[in-house]
Amino acid sequence: MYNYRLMNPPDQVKGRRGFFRTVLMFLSLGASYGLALLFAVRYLLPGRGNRKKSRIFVSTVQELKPGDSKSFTTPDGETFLLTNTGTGISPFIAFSSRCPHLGCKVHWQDRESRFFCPCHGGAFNIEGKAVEGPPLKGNQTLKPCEIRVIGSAIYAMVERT
Amino acid sequence: MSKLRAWVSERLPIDPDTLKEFGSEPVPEHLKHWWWCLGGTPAYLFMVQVVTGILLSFYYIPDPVHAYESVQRITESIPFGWYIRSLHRWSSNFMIVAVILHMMRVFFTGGYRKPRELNWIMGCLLLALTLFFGFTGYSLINEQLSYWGLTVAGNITEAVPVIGPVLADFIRGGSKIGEATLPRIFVFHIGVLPTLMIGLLAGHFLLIRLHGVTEFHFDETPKTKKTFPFFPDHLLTEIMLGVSLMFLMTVLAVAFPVGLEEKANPLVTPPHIKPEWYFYFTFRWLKLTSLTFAVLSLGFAFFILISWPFIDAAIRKRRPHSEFSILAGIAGVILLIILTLWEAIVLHFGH
Repeated sequence: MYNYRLMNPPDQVKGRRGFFRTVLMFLSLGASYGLALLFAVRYLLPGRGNRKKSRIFVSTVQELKPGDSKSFTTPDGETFLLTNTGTGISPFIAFSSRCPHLGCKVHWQDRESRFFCPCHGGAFNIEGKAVEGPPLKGNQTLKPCEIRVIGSAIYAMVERT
Repeated sequence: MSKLRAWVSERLPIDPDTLKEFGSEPVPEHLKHWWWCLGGTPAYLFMVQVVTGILLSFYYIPDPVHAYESVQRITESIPFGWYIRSLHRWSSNFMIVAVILHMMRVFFTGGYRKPRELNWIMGCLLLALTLFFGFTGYSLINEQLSYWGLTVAGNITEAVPVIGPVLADFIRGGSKIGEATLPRIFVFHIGVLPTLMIGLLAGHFLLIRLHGVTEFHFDETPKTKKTFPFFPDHLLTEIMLGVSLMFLMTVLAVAFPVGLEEKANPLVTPPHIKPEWYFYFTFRWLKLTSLTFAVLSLGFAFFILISWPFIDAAIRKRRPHSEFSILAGIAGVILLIILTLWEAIVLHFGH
């Protein structure tokens, strides 16, 4: 009356073949549901270095002469300073303009090639490391921002909110 | 090993043989046919719903200010959020289809007859719960469809005589949709309804186990009982079904991931407001009749559905060979299909 062939359970195969069939079945089930479990874990643990970044336009190469700097604000509300150091293969750097000491604004001093905070005389080199003043004692750094130059446009890479 | 076994059996005083016997209940041969796996399908899908639902509630925020944005975040930024949400949605649709098909199978094979009337009633309640699940589920997204769906449903509830207004206020947490509404719908969706569902499912399964699966006596088959054990044979079928469903839903989630409509706007009713497809028949019925009549007639129809085992028994007492139930069932199904298709055609091609 019915076609049972499709539905015949595989447990009728005994011995070694039956054993391997069972093992294979559990392995496949484990693999497929295990993958789903992996997805669930990735879903529950987001933001592990996986926050996607998007770029925002800051300036053109022509506009930013060596020694100039331009301030820009990210969607998070942080203010950064894009600076043309005039040296090296990639002269453009960007650091947070917030001094890690007490939060004053730093600015670029081209002659000394450093960022300077007027409040307490903190200074930072082109890698953002403190070289003078209270931030040096605390071994503090300016927060960097990744820069990408595409054509003649300079973009800052910021985390998506 | 034997020490471990002794340790366990002392603390779990169940005889393994009894357990084995309990698990490997002999089930009739016809269960090898796919039509008889439709009961296990919604059960499997319910498990998928529980798992994906718990995952979604990790990020969902049930208040009108953040609800939409939290769904957007799940869908767009969180790793695999789109997949979990799409699975949840596809699985809910599949569950409704499977429940309807399962009920049709039971109805047209007369599986609801004595002594299984109570299980039919529980099944009807499970159908109602499944539909409530669907409704509260898409209300939570707080998109236009959610808001206006809630508005319409609230007004329908208010039209129920006597208890309607109180019931509507209870569901909405006020006389209109407000700040209290989404938290309430959320509690219904993840607290009240699952608890009721698990309780009813337990009862449903218990009764199946106590009565056994309905046996059929086809004219050409001799009266020898051909059976096969539930475990592992039938369970294997269900596992195969589960894996196939998961595969299908994953394909659908990739090909047709669930998106988002516009955020709920209490000031603008969208021009083409429509419910989910499984409410199309009520939507059409509401358009055809007056509100009070529509509400009362739908309630009456559900009452008829629930009490069909007794109606059928009364008919068969007078005329033992009456095929009236089959005819009534076919008429009911055709009516539902016509109302659903009618609404679908008007909604998708009517403007």
